[in-house]
Parts: sequence; structure tokens; C-alpha cells
Amino acid sequence: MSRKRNTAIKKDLKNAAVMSPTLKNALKNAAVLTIVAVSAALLLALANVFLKVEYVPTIDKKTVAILNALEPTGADDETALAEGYFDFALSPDAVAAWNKKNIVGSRQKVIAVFKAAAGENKDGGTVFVEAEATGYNGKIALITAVNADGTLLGIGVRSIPSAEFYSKNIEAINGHIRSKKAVTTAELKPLVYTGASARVTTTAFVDAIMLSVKISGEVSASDGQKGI
Amino acid sequence: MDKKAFKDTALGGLLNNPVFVLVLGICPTIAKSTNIVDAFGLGAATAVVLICSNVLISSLRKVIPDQVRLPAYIIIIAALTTLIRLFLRRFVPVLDESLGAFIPLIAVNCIILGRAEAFASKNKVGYAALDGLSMGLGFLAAICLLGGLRQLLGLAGLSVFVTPAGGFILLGLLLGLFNFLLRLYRNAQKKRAQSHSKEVR
Amino acid sequence: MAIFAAILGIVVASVLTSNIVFSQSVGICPLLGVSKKMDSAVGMGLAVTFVNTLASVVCFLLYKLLIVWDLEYLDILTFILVIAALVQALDIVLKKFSPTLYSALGVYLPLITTNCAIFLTVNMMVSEGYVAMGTGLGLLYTAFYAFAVGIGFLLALVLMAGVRGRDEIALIPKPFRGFPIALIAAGLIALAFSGFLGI
Repeated sequence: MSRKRNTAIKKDLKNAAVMSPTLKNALKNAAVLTIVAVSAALLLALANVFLKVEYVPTIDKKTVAILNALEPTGADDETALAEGYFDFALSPDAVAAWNKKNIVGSRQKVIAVFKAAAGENKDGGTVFVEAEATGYNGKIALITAVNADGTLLGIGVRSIPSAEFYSKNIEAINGHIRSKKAVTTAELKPLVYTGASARVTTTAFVDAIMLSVKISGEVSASDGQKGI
Repeated sequence: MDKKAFKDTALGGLLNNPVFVLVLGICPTIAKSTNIVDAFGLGAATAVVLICSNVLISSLRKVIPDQVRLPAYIIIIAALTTLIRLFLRRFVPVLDESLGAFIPLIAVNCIILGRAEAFASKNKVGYAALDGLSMGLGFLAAICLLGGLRQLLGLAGLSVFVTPAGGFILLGLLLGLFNFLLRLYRNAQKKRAQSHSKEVR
Repeated sequence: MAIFAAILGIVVASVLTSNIVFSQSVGICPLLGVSKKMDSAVGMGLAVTFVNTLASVVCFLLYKLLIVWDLEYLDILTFILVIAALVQALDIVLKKFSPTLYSALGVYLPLITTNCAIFLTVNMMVSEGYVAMGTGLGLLYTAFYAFAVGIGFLLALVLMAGVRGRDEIALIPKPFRGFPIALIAAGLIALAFSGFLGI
């Protein structure tokens, strides 16, 4: 009788130790997928360390040309550059922090915030925001000038894909948005749209402007002064 | 190496062209072939991802269980696409800026998953790499052909071809033309084989 | 009220003026593959709408999380896993509750994972600004935009199915049968759609 019981116990143990084939399969599948996914993520993390791009904004000739056109300092571009008429209103770290706080990723973000630091327009309260957004046709980088009271002064183009319809219509767009105050995305879109076939990129264009409006509002409002 | 298999694989990009014969990967072909630079950039990036994915998947083909092969391939291809995007952003930013949202779309390019499923998962690494190269070059040629044509036609004043509608039509015409030429080639091959067998007899 | 008008604008834009297939020329592969029969076309359109809406909403939130965790480079991987999971779920649900739809879609159901239209919407959606509106409203707009893109895709499929049903009969030269003529037809429809831009 004890032998019978032993065999029975042995059989039970054996059955418990052997998993059903379908469960084993499912576990194997899940394991392989997890390993592949985790390896991929780790590989990407490693690549990201080496291939990360940190764009350092500079006040170069091109920037000064655009800023000078948006709010003329009365001097020409060379003088404005040499005399330091324009300077950063927010440090790159502050801009990065603002981007992070507002949860905008690499597809759209503020690059730099400028102000007039010398010359006629010093402390005039105008904030120039360089912002970029990526759309269907590629990346658009604009500099938007916003007055201290939230009025749009105009936009200048830092970089725009050649396929982008709006590159040919900046003057018309400027004419439309100038002197408009505290616009919302819904109000801005029809002002910018001029009949292009890739409407989605209107959004990238508008996003860049809206980002600029948002941060300029905070820059102007912080510590009561015009600009930081 | 088996000579016939080598030849067939190497010529796959031409006789089995992913765009004109297999009719895969049409989305980027129409959307980003408005000028030759974009077309070349996207074609080259896709080709690189295709070759790498073919090699990787072929070397892992015995390890990945059959049931989860599609999700596994998709993960691998997505990771490779991310790598290419990081690479382009760092070393060729002008391409990254003009291709924009279409670099992530390489991850869902039917050609890459299609070749992974149809070829790389069933063949040795060497052949898989060759197939990737051949198909990649075939895709590059197709998208550049379309891109160059559309740009030329646009510059010549026929700007309808630069629009998506024109892209559809032009691709349809090219497809029909390619079919026609391929048919001629196959008929000529058949005739040659027939006369060959007649001689032998 | 302004929100309602904005949403209506988004829907109309996505379905008519910037239709994902005819204006943005993505989603062509399933378009050519499925548009031969009307019922599989409708089925695919509905499935894509469903997956697109859900995937966009989920990815919108996940993307914000990725940024906060400094893991933005994992975005492609995350999006595609979300879409794959949703398609797998759809597969199971359809198999159980609607076998007719399941068989109508056939091999094209798992291929929804690699649908360019869905992936482009998800990639664009997470950057669709609405920055000034904050996450809550942005999410709402995202859902409607993705839904509208899906409907636009459905419309494109239905139109193509209607057109292709007829071309069996026409006298088309042999090299042009099948895909070439389908592409040319799509192009002509796209031309017609570009007339909507006047709105």
C-alpha cells in the first residue's frame, strides 16, 4: 500500500513540475519580446548619449538682421551686432527649464529669448522669441516679436524648408498678424493660412508663434520689469 | 555561394522592384518625392535601415519564436529607425529638418517589414544583407526617379505634378510603364529559353 | 462655443481639405490592397479610425511622460508598441464578436500596425501644439483630430472602392491593369479634393 502511495505522490510531483506546453510557450514568447524591447531601449539610451545634439543659440549676424528688421534700432545690422544692441532676455538654462516645465519636446520648443539691451529700444519691453516647430514639411524656426502688452509686432524667419509654402508669404502673414493682441491658436490659424496645400504645416507655423507668445507673456510678467 | 541564388537576390531590386513590382512603400515615395534631395535622403535612410534590419533579423531568425516574430521585427525596425534619426540629427541636420515627420515613418515602411518577413527570416545573413542592399537600392532608385521627374516638371511649369495628386498620377504612369518594360523583358527571356531548348533538341 | 467651432474646423479640415490620403499622401499601401471590395474597404476604414483615435490619445499622454522622464528618444518605439498592442486587441475582439468583419479584413488586419496614416497622425499629434491650451484641452483636440483623420481615410477607401469596382470592365491596356490605374484614379480624386481648399 505504501508503494502505491509513493507512485501516486511521484506522479503528482511530476505533473506539477512539467508545465503545460501552451503556458511554457507563452512565457517564452513574453520573455523573448521583453528581452528584445529592453535591449532596444538600452541600445537607444547608449546611442542617445553619444548622438545627442545641444543647440547653443548665438546672437549672430543673421539673428541681428531679423531682430533689427522686426523692431528697428535705427542703426544698421553691423553696428547693432558690434554694439551689442540685442542680448538674451533669458539664459539658455532658463529657456530649457521653461521648455521642460511646459512639457514640449524636440518637435517644438523655444530656442532663445532676446531683448533690446542697448540703443534706442533698450528696455522697451519688446521680447523676441526664437521658437521652432516640426511639421509635415519639415522644421520651421521663427523669431516672433511681442510687445510688452502682448501685441504681436511681427515674425521673422530663421529657417524654413524650401517646400514650405509659407516661405513665400512672410510679408503677407506679417501684414495680417501685426498689431493683433494675445491671439489664440484658433484666431491665429486663419490669419496665417493663405491657401497652401499642406494645411497641417500651418499648425507648425502657428505653434512656433504661439510658443513665443506664451513665453513672452511670462518674461514680461516676471518681476514687473519689462524683460529680465 | 550558389550562383543562381546570388544572381536572383542581387537583381531583386530591379526585377522585383519594391515600388514598381511589389508595390510597397508607396507612402514616402509619393509624399517626399517633390524634390531630388529629399527623395535621395529618405531613400538612402530607408535603405540603410533595410540592410541593418535584414541582417539583424536574419541572424536572430532561429532565436525568435514564430508566434511573436512580427512584434519582435517591429521593435527591431523601430529601434533602427530611431538610431538613424539620432544619427541624422547629429550629422546631417539639414536632412532631418526637411524630412521632418517622415523619418519616424521609416519604421512603418512596408518594404522593411515585408522583406524581413518574406526573406530575412528565412535566409542566411549573407543573402539577407544582399537582399537588403538590392531592395534598398531599388527603392532609392524609384524614389529618386519620381523625385527628379517631379522636380523637373515643377520647374518646367507643370506644377500640378508637385502636388500629391500629380504624384499619384505620375507614379501610376511609371508603374504602368515599368510593367510594360518588364513584360517585354520576360517575353524576350522566354523566347530565348525556348530557342535554347529547341537547339538542344 | 469657441471650442465646438474649433473642433468642427479640425474635423472638416481633416476629412476634406487635408485628407490624409489625398492631400498628405499617406496610407496608400492599405488603400491599394483593400479598396477592391466595398465591405473590406469600409471595415478597414472603421478599424483604422478606432485604432487611430485610441492610439493618438494614449500616445499623447505617454509622450508627455517620456519628455518629463528625459526619454524622448524612445518615442518611436513607444508609439509603435502602443499601436501594435491596440491592433492585437482589435484582432482578439473582432475574432470573437464580428467574424464577418474579421474575415473581410483578412491578412490586412495585422497590417494596420504599419499603417502610415495612423503612425503619421500619432507622430504629428504629439506635436500639434495647443500649447497655450494645456494638456486637458489638447487631449480633447487630439481625440477629435485622430478620429477625423480616420474618417477621412474611410472616405478615401470608400471612394477608391467605388471607382475600382468599375474598372474591371473598362478597356485598360494590360500593363496598366490593377495598381497603376488605381494610382491614377487616386490622383484624379486627389485633384478633385484639392478643389476643397477654397473653403
